[in-house]
Amino acid sequence: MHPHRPLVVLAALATAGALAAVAAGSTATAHKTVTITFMEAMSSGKQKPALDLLTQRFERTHPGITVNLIAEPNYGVLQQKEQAAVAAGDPPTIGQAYENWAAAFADAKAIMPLDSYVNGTNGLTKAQQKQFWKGVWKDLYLPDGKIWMWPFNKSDYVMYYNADKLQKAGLAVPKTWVDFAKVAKAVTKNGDWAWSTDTGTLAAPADGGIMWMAITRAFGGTWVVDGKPTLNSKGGVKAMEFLKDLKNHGALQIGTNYPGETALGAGRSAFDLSTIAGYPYELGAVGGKFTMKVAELPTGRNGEGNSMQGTNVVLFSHASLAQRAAAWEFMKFLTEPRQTAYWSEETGYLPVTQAALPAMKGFIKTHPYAQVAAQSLQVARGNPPYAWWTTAIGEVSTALQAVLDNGADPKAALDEAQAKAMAAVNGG
Amino acid sequence: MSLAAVRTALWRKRSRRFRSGLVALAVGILFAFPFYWVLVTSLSTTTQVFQFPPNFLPGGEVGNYSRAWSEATWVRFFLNTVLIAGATVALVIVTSLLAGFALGVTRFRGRELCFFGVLSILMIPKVVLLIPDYVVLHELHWLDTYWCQIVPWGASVFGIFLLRQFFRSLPQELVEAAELDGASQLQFLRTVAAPLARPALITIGLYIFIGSWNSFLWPFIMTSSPSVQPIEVGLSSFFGTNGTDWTGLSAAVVFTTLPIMIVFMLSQKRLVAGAGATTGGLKG
Amino acid sequence: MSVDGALASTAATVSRRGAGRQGIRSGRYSLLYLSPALLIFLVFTIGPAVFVLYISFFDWNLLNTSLSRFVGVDNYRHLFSSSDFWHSIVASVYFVGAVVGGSTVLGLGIALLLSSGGFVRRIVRLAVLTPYFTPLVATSIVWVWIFNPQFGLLDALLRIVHLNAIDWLDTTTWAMPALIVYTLWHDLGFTVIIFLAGLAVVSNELREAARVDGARYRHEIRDVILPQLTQTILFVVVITTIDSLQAFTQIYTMTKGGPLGATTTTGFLLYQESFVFYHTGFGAAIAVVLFIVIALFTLLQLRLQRRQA
Repeated sequence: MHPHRPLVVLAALATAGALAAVAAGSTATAHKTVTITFMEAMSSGKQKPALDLLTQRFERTHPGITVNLIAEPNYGVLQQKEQAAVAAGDPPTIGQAYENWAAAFADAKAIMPLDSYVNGTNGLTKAQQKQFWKGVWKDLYLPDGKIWMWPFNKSDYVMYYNADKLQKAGLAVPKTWVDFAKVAKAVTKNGDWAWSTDTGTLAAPADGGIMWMAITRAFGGTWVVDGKPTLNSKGGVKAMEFLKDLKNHGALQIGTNYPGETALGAGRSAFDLSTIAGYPYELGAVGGKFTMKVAELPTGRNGEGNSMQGTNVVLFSHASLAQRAAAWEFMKFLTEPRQTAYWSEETGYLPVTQAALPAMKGFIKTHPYAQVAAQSLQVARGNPPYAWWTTAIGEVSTALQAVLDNGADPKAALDEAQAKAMAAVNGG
Repeated sequence: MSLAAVRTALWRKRSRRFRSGLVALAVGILFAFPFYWVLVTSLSTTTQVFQFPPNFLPGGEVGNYSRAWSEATWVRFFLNTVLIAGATVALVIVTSLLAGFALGVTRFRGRELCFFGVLSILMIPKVVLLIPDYVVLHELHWLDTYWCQIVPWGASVFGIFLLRQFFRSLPQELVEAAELDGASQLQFLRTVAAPLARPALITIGLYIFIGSWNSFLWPFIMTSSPSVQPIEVGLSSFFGTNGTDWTGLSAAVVFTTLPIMIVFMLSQKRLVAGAGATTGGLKG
Repeated sequence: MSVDGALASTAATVSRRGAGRQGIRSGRYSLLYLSPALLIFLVFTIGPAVFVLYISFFDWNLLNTSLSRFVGVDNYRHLFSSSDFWHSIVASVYFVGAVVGGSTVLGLGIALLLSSGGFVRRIVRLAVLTPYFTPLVATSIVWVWIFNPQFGLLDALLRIVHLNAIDWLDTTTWAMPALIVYTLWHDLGFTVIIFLAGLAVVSNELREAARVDGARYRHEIRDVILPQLTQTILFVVVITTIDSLQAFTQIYTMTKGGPLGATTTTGFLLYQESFVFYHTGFGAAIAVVLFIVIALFTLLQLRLQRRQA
């Protein structure tokens, strides 16, 4: 046998593949005036086809503009890729970003404020602006009072529950956190429990941390006051004690990788507190074994403390004037009632404006939960828009682990988280 | 030795072989079970997956496969992966042969220093190079191409190390015979040294191929178009931001691993033989 | 591109310059032969690494370099006084120690079991080696499901034998062992190949001789096989040390460094500081220190290797 046969075969394969690739890649050049790129993480499930379709629709109605979607598998990779692209001086035109990312980008002058577009001649009328959910609109600002973001895939938290289970036990759907604790303990028996959540870690916060945020607000606590973290506010400590109590009674279990969905779906836990965007996955997990229903998140002394999730879109300052204008055109398009309604119906995210509700009438009739969750956007709050919030929420996750996994004292754990968050504020 | 003693020894040997065979079987089951589990999951409905206690027998839910198959352009992703991994292996072999020859056969001042320099490259934490490399690739206009997934990985310390060790163990007579024939250095490398090193090359090929196959962050950060992206991109569409599609993921794992398993099954003997000669070379 | 072709064309250029007359061991063109590899290293590894060293003395703003500030050795001072860093060193030693020890001992043990032929052993070989061919990112997420305390395979088995279920990935005690089990499952195939290969060249005569002497198998391993495998063992130790120090993907998908930093190895801390918290300069300092640690460690191993040889 020829001594190098495997290598030669390999090399031949490589060459053939490369040729095929070149042939396939060279067909996609048409003549358009402006091309913009959109870096996003809507790559799984129904999100990808829905965004593809919206983009096609936009290109059809705006013949001068081409939109290239750059899909990343998750927010972690998206964040790194946006960083790398900014560092290389070649960012996309627009990209999805959480509030704290936007704050870091704005500090570095990597993105630009949108006020002149939003309020400009090609912007939105005051009446149109008023139609956006209050929580969504508030979330577009950074602490400097300027609009830096434009809403895209917004969601908030709801309470999924096993209706059959509650009915059988003769329990009412809890409306307040105090009720929730009572019902949770009542359903915890025979090896079943009430709710599973993921505490998250320092590097990757998860639902558990966000529920702590929601309960904290409902109990009258705060996350941030005057641009400084307040992780150990009275309400915050109470929220942590609340969670610890549930854990000690066996009503709350800790897991990873969307454990709430799994436990509810298997009929073992009675509740899952999760985002509305997870609805299709919850439904899949339940698989028709029982009736799953959706209710608003329970309330506390201060009403509903819902926490808004999902990202906004930011405009990178590297773009040319023509690209900026085209990008604004696209961003505005995505929030038009018809488009945001379509996006919502397809993906389970929420329409960003109330103006979309009439278009969704038929959908809401069959999916009443969508209205429930959308209404909550009036009161829901997004992540505090500070670069250091990444550290703060990471430290909250650590505190949750310390308290729920290792039985640490809630106050002490939050004091430590607060100290570390303050260090991040001062250290930059 | 008496006949009886031979018989006892033989019997002892056989029973030992039988016992160790049982242990081997147990080990095999231990390693294979997760795969079996993936297979079961890939043939179950979501409801069956979330069942308690779990179901150990495969169902007949073939629909997962068609769903997973339509989720991504698998053939394209697969070909891209093979192309990238194959080209990387080819490049690594060329660069390692040349460098291994220089460090293992030729004599020059600072050779040992050079070798330790190369070894120390292995110790640089790769995670921090991600963004500087992105900038470099951007300057080269190689982002979002095959090049950025091949060339940066085209030199391997592991490959150079193995070949240097192997070449050092080449007998002096071989070198002298080649010199008598009037062979140039590269003729010697091409016709004598490289063919002898074939087993080592197979080991290097395997190691590099798997490394390339396993790269996760790199292709995502450096590329954007599905036309040049590897199979991981397809797999990642099953664990999105709001949940994981266990059954679809399992089906995809099955049909992406299968081709590679088959290739391996066919080449198992050669791989082990290859590694054998490699470590034989290590003794030098 | 064909390997033969590439070598031949380089050969042609060189021999035209008369390399053939220089003798095979001549060092005249050594640097030329090294240059393709060195060029790639220079551009993609050494250059960027020097840059990383440079920014480790800055409060570096990746997003806008003009906002970066020179801070001298502050990053290093901060690093050595940071409990997170020392904690990560402990986690690294745990992870690397277990993976290297496990790969070596289990790899050798399994290779011994499988070294003789036969149908059963051939199939088992395939079972042991296949995990190595699966993409890390896909199978590590499959193992997340296996480790699931309520529905996972592992706890189901524990319950069958009436043991208490373990919350594998969410307790500080078990998260690291779980990670190690997955890593061994995925990577053992490679070490088994290397050991199988090493065993194939262990002198059969010596083994036979030992057996004729009536040596027990245990003694045969200790006195005959192991001494001949020292080089192979050291090779396995070096390569698994380096690979496991850089392990990232499985930590990222399985535990994300938690719980409470139990699986935050120094490699993962590096990722967390640089990419999650934008502490680019600090992350660079960790990288530099990690490099020095690995270098010292490898030097030690090579020293040992030399003494053995």
